[in-house]
Amino acid sequence: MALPKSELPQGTLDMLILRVVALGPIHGYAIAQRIRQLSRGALQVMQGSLYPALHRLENKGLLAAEWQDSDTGRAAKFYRLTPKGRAQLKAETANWARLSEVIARFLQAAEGEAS
Amino acid sequence: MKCFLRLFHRDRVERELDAELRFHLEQQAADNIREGMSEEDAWRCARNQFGGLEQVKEDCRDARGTRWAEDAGQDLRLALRVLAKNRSFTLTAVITLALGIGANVAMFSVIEAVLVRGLPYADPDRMVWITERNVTARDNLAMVFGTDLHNWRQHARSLDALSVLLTGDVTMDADEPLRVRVACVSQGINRLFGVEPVLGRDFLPGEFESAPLAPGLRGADRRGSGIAVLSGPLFWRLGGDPGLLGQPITIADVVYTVVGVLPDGFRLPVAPSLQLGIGPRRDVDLVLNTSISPEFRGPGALVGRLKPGVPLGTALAELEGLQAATNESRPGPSESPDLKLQLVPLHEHVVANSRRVLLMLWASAVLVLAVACANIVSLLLARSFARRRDTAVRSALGAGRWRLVRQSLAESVVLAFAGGLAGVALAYAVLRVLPAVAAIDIPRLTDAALNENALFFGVIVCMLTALVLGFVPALRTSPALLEELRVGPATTLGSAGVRRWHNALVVGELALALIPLAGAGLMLRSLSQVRTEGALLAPEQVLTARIQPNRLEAAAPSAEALQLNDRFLESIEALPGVQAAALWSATLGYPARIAGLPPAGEDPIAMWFSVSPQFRDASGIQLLAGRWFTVGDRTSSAPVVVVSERFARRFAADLATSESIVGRTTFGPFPPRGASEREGPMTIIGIVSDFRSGRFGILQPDDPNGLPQVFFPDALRPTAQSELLVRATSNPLGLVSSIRRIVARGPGTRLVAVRRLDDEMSTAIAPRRFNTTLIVAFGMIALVLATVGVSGVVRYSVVQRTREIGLRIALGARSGSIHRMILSRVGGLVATGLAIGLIGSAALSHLIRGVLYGVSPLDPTVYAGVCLLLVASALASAYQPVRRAVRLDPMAVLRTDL
Repeated sequence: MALPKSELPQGTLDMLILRVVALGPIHGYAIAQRIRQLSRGALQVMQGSLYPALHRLENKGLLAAEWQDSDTGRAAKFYRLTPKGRAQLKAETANWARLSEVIARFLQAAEGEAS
Repeated sequence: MKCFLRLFHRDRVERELDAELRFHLEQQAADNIREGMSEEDAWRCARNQFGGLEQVKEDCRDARGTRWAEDAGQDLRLALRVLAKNRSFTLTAVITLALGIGANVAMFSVIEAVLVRGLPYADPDRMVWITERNVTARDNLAMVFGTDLHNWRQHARSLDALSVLLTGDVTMDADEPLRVRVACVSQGINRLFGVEPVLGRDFLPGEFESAPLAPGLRGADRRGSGIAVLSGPLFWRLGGDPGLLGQPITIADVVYTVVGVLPDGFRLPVAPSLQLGIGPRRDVDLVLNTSISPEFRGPGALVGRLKPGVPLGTALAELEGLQAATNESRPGPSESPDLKLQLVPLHEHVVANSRRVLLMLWASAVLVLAVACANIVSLLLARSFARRRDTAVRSALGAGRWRLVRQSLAESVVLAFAGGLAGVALAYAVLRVLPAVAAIDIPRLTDAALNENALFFGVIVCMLTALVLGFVPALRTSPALLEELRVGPATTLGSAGVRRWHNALVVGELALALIPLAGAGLMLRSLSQVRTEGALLAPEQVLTARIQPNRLEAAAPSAEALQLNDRFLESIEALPGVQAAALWSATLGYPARIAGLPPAGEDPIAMWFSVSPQFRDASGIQLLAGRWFTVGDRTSSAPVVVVSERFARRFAADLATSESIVGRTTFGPFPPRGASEREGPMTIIGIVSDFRSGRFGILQPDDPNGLPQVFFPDALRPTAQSELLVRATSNPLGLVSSIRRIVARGPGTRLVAVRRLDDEMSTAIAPRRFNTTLIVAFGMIALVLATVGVSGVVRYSVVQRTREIGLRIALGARSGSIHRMILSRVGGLVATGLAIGLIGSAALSHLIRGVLYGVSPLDPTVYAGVCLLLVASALASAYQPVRRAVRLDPMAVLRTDL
């Protein structure tokens, strides 16, 4: 059974996409599948926001795109990480780790106070 | 860069986007099928999961960041389509803008060339113009003192170079005598201006000591020879043959050897030295070397080059100090405390007079553009009102407010730049034609061209125009437009905002148009004042010419010269069709004073005219008081003179009436034989109007250099070279060949420089006429635009109130009351506009004050006339739409709207 679904916090979609693309060239549909798999179904990416995000990242130079044949034999647009994208991913991952730790500690402390 | 490339590959990008999303859908559907759905369900489910395909595409386009550019392209295309459909509106707007923008670009080019760009010399900022001028007497000339020149040359440490500059028009003897403008200098051109001749050489330092005096100067010796450097244009005019170097040319009986040719673009400033006489503006044709004695004293100027880094003030202080140290030795009445040394940057001196005129003209051009903008805004508003349903539909269909604003901006950008393009073409044409049109008294005008600065300025003007044009209609695309849809086409309400804007525009247009129109009126009055004030009687019947003596015989004894002249005049007067013939010549440089009257500061320098008895009849000057010469005066032992109106005014300040100057004694340069004084007493017997002739260029009433004149019988001091005046009973040009034959009978004498007196006078006022023409053109454009504006607004308001008017007529309103209803509103707007315009004119009057002559910048007649003109035009333009309103068929109107 899948975990209960969560809302994606603002701005984290880009980080998830970068993380997935970092594993190797991949097309849009597979990115959506992969995000669902990796989060064990907890994170549901709306396609409506996936593609604009991909185009935005490509436009910023964090992703590069190329048309290649997919495993079904159809041509698909494959995204891969640029060096700039890799740096961005690293920075965002570190930032996220620090932020989640701080927030977790804060919530714990607040809980301790309340009880 | 990338996003611009994408713009060009728009189609490909779209295709790829489509393919990418379609691939996603296919994959989703395929997975769904694999999970056991039917094909139909699989696709429907995939599409549902995906959301709106178009919406996603739109979001992707937004994400790409080229959205604005793509939209701008689309906006522009739409704007072009809309404008192309409304051809008459577009044409009106573009022509209107072309006039406004073209006028501004042309004026900018002229101002840049004349006022901003440096003079064509090395380090032009170091060049200074040095004069001494009587600061209390308005009409006194800039003077040069030889003693100062020598003193400063020797001692002044703030100057690198210093030279006298005397310019004037003289006749150069050649096969065909040539009228040229010469400049006499006393220092090398390169040392002074930092410019080398392109051919031959400059003056050498040792070539000034023994140089001849400037031609025409009193005592100019006919011995000796000088050196001349030609300007580029004169060199080309003489054939452009390098063999000219080393050739002699003769000017006023002095032989000059040509040693060099200056670059084509080199121009010297002009310092009128009136002994030479100076006509309408033209560039210096050749530079002569001259020697200036310490005793020299006369009109002209000094040109100096400051040492690097020396401020003007320091130089002035040094020169003044040196002057004070040698004051005792200065000749003449120059100790007068009113005589003031002036140092100005040369550029300042060259452009000083043009600045006022040019700034005034530019202000007019800006106002014309403002009226043009107001006009088009009002057209756009009317159109946006007409299109309000279209706009409302679009906004109901989801076009954002910003999108609608952008659409309106796109249209104004297209209009502004189309107008700008046409305007730049117009300016280009005008600048090409301008210098050729007339002798224009604006220095360096020929340098004006459409360069990159002017084009840049044009682009800025276009952008500002686009903003102004787009701004107001954009404000109108408010969400309230949805109301329009709800209420339907019958609405005449809800447009109060538009009406307010229209009213404001009409008021503004009239106010803005009034200012250049008032300027035009004032300039026209000045022009007519200049033309008629003290005008000579029927100048179109008078021939002017010069009798050029044979150069060696010119030094003949004066009594013989007088006899020769009399023989000429007798023969000419005997010709059929001749009323009177006279000879005259003028000299200058003698201060005039009157016995028994306290000196008024520096004695004014007068122009002394040696005239033959028929001079008054031939020239057409009017006798204002006393009497003219009789035959007896010519030989009388007691010298008598007649003075000009200006002379009388000058001295009559202390007298009860200016007539009472008659009978008093003045002093002239004609001492009784054997007397030791330099001056002789002479009795004033009459006052005549000023003698004005273009030949000496100083006799226009608005010329600050115009001098008091004294006329004396030629027998007192006969001159060899004389100006001829022949008054005929009709057009005098038919007499030329007969007169030429008569003159040719003399010993080596020739008739040269033949013109009609009215032509000569009109050449003299050509610059003023030209300026006036320009501002009148601006004023007329503004008037036409404002009239069109008023007419448009009235038409709009009639259309808007069609229903109301129809109803009124149906209820029995008379046509007169409908007239009154509409016209009273127009009248109110016109009155408000005029009131604001009058205030604006008064505020700007300082711009025009210095350019006017004989009329106050607040002249009530002019303002009344201009207001009347505007009111009449506004009412006339309102007439047609009003008439249409009155003729409305009430039933038809009411039926259409119900």
